[in-house]
Order: sequence, then C-alpha cells, then structure tokens
Amino acid sequence: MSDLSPSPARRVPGPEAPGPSGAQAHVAPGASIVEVQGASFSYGELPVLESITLAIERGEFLAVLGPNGSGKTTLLKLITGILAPQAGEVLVFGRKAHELGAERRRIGYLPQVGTINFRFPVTALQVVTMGLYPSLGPGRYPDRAAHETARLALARVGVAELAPRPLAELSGGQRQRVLLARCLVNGPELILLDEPTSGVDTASTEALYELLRALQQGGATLVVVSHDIAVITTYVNRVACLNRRLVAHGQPDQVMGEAILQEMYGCHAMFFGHGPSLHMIVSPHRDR
Amino acid sequence: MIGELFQYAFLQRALVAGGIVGVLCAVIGVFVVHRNLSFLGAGISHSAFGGVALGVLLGVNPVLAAIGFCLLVGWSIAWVSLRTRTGEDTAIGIFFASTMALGVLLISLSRNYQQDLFGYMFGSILAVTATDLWIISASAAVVLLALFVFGKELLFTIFDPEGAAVAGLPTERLYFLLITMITVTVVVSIKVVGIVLVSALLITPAAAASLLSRRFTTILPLAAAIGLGAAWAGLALSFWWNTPSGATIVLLVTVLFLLAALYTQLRARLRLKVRGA
Repeated sequence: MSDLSPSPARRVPGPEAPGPSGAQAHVAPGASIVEVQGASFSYGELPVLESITLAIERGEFLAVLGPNGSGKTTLLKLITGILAPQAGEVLVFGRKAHELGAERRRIGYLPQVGTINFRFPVTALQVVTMGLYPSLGPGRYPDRAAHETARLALARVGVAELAPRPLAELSGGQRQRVLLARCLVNGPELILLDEPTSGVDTASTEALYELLRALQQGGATLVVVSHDIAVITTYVNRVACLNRRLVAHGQPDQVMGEAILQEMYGCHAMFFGHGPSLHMIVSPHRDR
Repeated sequence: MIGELFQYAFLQRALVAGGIVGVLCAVIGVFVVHRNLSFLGAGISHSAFGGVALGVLLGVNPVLAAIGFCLLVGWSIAWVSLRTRTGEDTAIGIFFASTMALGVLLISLSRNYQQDLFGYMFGSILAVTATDLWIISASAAVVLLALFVFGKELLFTIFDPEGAAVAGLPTERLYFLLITMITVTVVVSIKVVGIVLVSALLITPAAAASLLSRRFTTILPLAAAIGLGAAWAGLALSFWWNTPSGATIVLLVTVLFLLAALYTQLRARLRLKVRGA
C-alpha cells in the first residue's frame, strides 16, 4: 500500500457549488442534501467502506472515483437507502436514507447495468412508466396521463421515438438513455447514477454527460459513480476519490494529483491536460 | 364427437379444472420464466409429494395439506436465498430432494398409499372431485386477484430489483408474494397434470409466448391462450385416444412450443432474405 495516509480525507477548498436555480422547497439553499457521517459498511467480514464522511451540497455534480472493489457502488447504495450503514449515519434530505418513505421519489437512480434484466419483454415506454408505479400504488395501472409523463421524460433525454420499441432491441447507449428517462420521470432533486456509460460508445458517453450537465444547471444534484476518469472530470465540479476510505474530496483539478491517484489505484498514474479534457496515464506500481 | 365431452359430470369438471389450471399456470409462468425461477416450479411440485403423503397419513385433504406444506418449503427457499450465502437454485435443490425423501418416509408408515399417490404423481384429471374443483377455483381467484393488485410492482421488481427498491417498493415482500403465488399455483395444479409434469404447464406456455412476442402485455394473454388451448385440446385427445390426460396435455404444449420456436426461426430467416434482396 502507499505510504500516504491522509485521514481524514483531504478536502480541497474550491468555490461554492453553483446556487440553486429552481425552487427546491425541501432543502434550504446551501444546505447539504446528502450527509455521510463516519459511515462504515462490510459484507460479512469484508470491510468495504470505512469511516466515510462526505457532504454533498445541493446543485453539486459529484463524481465518485476509485478502482474496482473500492466501495463506490456500496456508497451509492448507502445514499439510496438500499443498504444501511453498520456504523455512522447517512442522511438524505435531513433524514436517515434507509428510513426514507415516500420521499424516495425525490431520488432518481440509475443502477449498474449488470443488475438489470435487459432481455425482459418490456418496451422503452413501459420501462420509463415503471418510475411512476410507486406513486400510483397497488391495483392502479398507468393511465394516459402517466404515459404522457413518461413520453416527456423520453423526449427530454432525446429518445422520444424509442417509446414503442422493445428494450431488448436497443443499443447500449439507447438503453442507458431510456433508464435515465425513468430516473428523471418523477422530477428528482437528487440523481444517483452507477456507471451510466458502461457499454456506451465515446460519442454517446459525451452526449450523456452533456445531458447530466444540463440537469445540474436545471438545479438537480448529481452523484455519478464512474470509471471514465478522463471524461468525467471535465463535467463534474467535485470529485470524491474512494478506496475503502475517502482518499480525497474536492475540485477535479486539485484532487487529481499524482499522489492521490497513486494511493487510490495503488499504481503510478498521472493526468495531463490535452485540449478540453484530461487524460490519465497508468503504469505498473513502482514498488513491484 | 365434441358433444360427448360434455355428457359426463366428471368430464365437465375435468374441462373446468383443466381450463383454470391451464390459464393460471401460464400466467404465473410468465413471471416464473422471466424471473429465471423455472427450477422453483419443479422444486415446489416435487416437495408437494411430501405434503400429499403427510395429508394421506393424517387423513387430511391431501391438496390442502400440500398447499400448507409447500408454502413452508417455498418460504424457506426464499429465506435461505435472501438471508444466507446459499444461492436460490442450491436452496431449491436442497428442499426438492429432502421433501421428496420425507414423502417416501411418510408413505412407508402408511398402509393404503399406492393408488392414491400414483394419481398425484402423474395427474388424474378425470378423478377431479367437486371439492378439488372448489379448491382449484378459490385458489386461482386469490392468486389472480393478488396478481392484478401487485402485478406492476412484481414486474418492476423482476426487471430491476435495485431500481424498484430505491423507488420505494418492498422488494423482499414482493419476492415472498411471488413465491407464494407460484407455490399455490403449482400445488393446485398437481391433481390435473401431476407432481412430475406440472412444471411443464408452468413454464412451456410462457416460454412459447415469449418467443412470439417481446411485449409483456402481449405475452401474458398469449401464454394464457396457449395454456388454455393445450389443456382443453389435451383433455379431448386423451378422452378420444384413451391416453393419460396429464401426459397428453404436457406433450401437446411442448409441440406448441416447438412450433413457436420453428416459426420464429423461419420468420427471422425470411426477414434476413427480404433485407438482403
């Protein structure tokens, strides 16, 4: 392991997150929409996250980066409330995430593609409409208005024409857009995306991030777990580097230093600027 | 010729029971197939052997005894796969064999078991009693009502369990509900097609319908039609040919599946040709 052991995580100061542009009644401006306070989680005896402390302010676009097994997805699951921390607390909208009831509808979530059954016989429109199921309640089926809302969400992500198409027939990029439309269908304040560009080509990846940037400019708070370090750092305004612990947290250009990357990935890695985006070079660990 | 079928009360009961079971199995089967729970159907039906044996031994209605017994088995499978590191298919495998073993043990303690149990193993639709018909109808009504009330929630959970949980759906309770519905469906169907053959009635119509369409809303009625058609046609054929009804229904539904597979292959080739032309 690296000899660098910053604890607590380095909080690199930067300008305040962009102010809210839309009316968001539930959380006061500047207040944290997500507060992770000393949260730890382990699967059985395997610790995945240790003492994570992290605040996500409203309007922030945060990228959670880290190698495989660094706990990125687990952190996202703690914020969604699917998992509860074994130590510490995870507060969303000022309440414990795993105890959120109907307020969950204020969260939009795009799961990792591996957890979704893409051969399932549903159309794009049906997938998006699923986002409205919890608010409809048992025994009630989507009516014309619900389908219209779903169509608008598809149009918002630029794939209105896919509505009647079976999901199984769509490309990776199209599927991700359909799932993003479902994620947006309730007009969420907090949008959580777990590797939204996996299986998506470069052009679609950039288009997807442009869309996310537009959502942020519309007042939403976004948290993206990703491996696309080079692309994502040009879009987000905060980065959290994770490797079981929070290695660093701050603005992309200040966080992405060699020392932090080395600690995070356990290998020699550095960024260099080239045109509008950053590139990363990774080489085997020097010590080995 | 068809008029003959409606002359006898036992045949009328068989047609009603076969029709209900054909539709019920097919509809629940769509959820089973797309949740990759096909093995559960076989596991639950075989554990019904233990339940039926228990009923025979205790002098309780065997179908009712099997429903209670199999619900315990189904919920145990769900609990083990949710709460331990044991996978769903492994849990099914464990209970599948152990409950059969329990059944064998129990019938060895009973003296007048042989003629009773053969009917349950391979189905005896022509021996469906008025009580059986009541149990089948009431169970089907309850299962289909639950399906109507929670159908879209089950759909979301099967398609994307994590997304459904984040959206606020009680995914674990929905999983237990699905297991309960599958269990009741399988157990009330064993009188018609038997323990050994019931999983075919559950899976095959849904699989055939899923070959013909990629839309859940089309697959559901299509599977029901295939299940109903196979049950009635199978019964009629078994009556005219004097063959065992359960086996005839299952073989017929398998032929329908093969025809669907053949049709989709031919359709795909034809499309390729049209595109190439």
